[in-house]
Amino acid sequence: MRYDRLTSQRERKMKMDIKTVRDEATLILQISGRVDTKTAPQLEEVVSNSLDGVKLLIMDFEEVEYISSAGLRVLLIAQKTMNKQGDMKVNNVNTDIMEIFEVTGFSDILTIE
Amino acid sequence: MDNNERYIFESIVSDMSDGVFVIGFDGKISLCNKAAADALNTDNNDLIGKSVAILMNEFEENDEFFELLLDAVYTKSKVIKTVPFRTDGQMRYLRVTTSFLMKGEEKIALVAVISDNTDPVELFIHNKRLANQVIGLMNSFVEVMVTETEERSAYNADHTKNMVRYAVRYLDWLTGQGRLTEFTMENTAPFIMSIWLHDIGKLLVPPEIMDKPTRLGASLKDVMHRIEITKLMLKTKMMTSADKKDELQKWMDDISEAANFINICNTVGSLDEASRERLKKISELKCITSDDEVVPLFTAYEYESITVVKGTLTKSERMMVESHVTFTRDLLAKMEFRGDYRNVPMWAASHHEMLDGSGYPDGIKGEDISWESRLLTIIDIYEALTAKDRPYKPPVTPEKAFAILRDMCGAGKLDRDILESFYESGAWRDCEDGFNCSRPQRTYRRKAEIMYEV
Repeated sequence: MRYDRLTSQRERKMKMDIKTVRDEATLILQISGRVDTKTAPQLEEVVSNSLDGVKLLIMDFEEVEYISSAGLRVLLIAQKTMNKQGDMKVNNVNTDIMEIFEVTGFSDILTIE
Repeated sequence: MDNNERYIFESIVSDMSDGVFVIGFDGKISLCNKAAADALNTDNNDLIGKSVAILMNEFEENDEFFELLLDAVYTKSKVIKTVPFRTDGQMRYLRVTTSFLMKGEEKIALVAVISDNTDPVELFIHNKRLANQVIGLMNSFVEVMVTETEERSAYNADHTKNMVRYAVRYLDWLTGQGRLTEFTMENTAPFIMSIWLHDIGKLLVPPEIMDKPTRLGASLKDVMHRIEITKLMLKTKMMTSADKKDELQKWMDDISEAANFINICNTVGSLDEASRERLKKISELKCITSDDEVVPLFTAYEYESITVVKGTLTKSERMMVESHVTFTRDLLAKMEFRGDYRNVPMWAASHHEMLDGSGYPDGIKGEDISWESRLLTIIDIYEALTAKDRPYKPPVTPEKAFAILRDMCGAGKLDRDILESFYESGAWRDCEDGFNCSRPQRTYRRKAEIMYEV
């Protein structure tokens, strides 16, 4: 029985949602939940398919609870792409994730507002 | 830290065999010794001043390693883990321990200590692979031998195979419910092995007893042969001794009737008192051999066999069949079962023990009978009852089988909780109607599982 509870907890935590808002050359990705090994490919797909003609990419991290190295890697890919065609910003980062950005040096690479 | 302390600290770190690097909360690697750089297959001057972000970019395939560093930051605690690390097409295993460098109450940096664990991990993987090969060989060997041995028997040839199928399904069901650990069974393979081996002792029971189809079995031919010779001898005598013709004719009639009656009694399910009386009278009849010698109609063994009240086995034959569990125990005691497999002989040899102590061979009871043996016993009886190629009775339906098993629980012989859980699992259901329908119907009737005849 304990097993069932653990599973459902894990399933709940595994979820990630992305809302995309496109306004001409600006793309806003409102991400919520956990960006981990399981869910990062979903974000990567959005990043690699939606950046055509985007001059400003805003990642709204208000609802993000957790980001793993796989998630950071997607941020790295997005940043590299946007370096060539415009700007990228990461907004509304909570303190836990800010700490991750700082320790890993991502705060130097990303523009965090 | 004064200069002296700093010097001591730095020389310890630079000379130690474990790799050490320190990541400041500014995100940069502020200290790194040679061993750490070696472990990451790079130069230590290369690492200082770099951030994790830059390293992630350089070591693209090593997210497990970086994940571990992130874990330490998230959980704000010490993390110890062995992770794979790939460089230049080589896979190595690094054991990483993280901690925080504190200045008073404040964390100022993340410290990671790395040791190259590739050799032990590869040795472990190699050992595991070897162990799996040995276990795989052992499992398939047992499976093939047991299956082939059972196929030789005319009855219930798939008994063990069916039991394994029921058990595997039941254990899967328990796992699905998250309940397997209730029974402290992390590894189900030894239990399955004990099912494969539970009847191995039958190898030592003579097949003519194990598969004895009728009361007289192969002896029927001897008895009938004796009667036929007697009849021929009587006919000859009648021709030569006309004065004794009536007496001889009566003898002939008695013997012929006896032959018919013996044939009936030989296959009937259970013998009533009247039949036994009549057989006693028949046993007093005499036969004549071709050497004109007068002998009793039955030998002692034949008489004991034909007068068996229920089933086909005499007392000593029954004991012989029952001793298959002792043979199982003795055979398995000669084999090496260790570690997870240490209980296999005990589980296998206790499958006829009953909770109330009425079972055999040891008559142990209650707590002395393990959960595994209790389950094995239930599955054994269920399979024996529902088998289509049962000795001298048609198969019972699953419902009837469970009714019999429940009665046995009521009598204190079987574990009711296990039985009801097995029932609930549906692991016993083979087709829609629940019968063991995968098996061919056999025409023989008889044999040894009579201990379960109810």
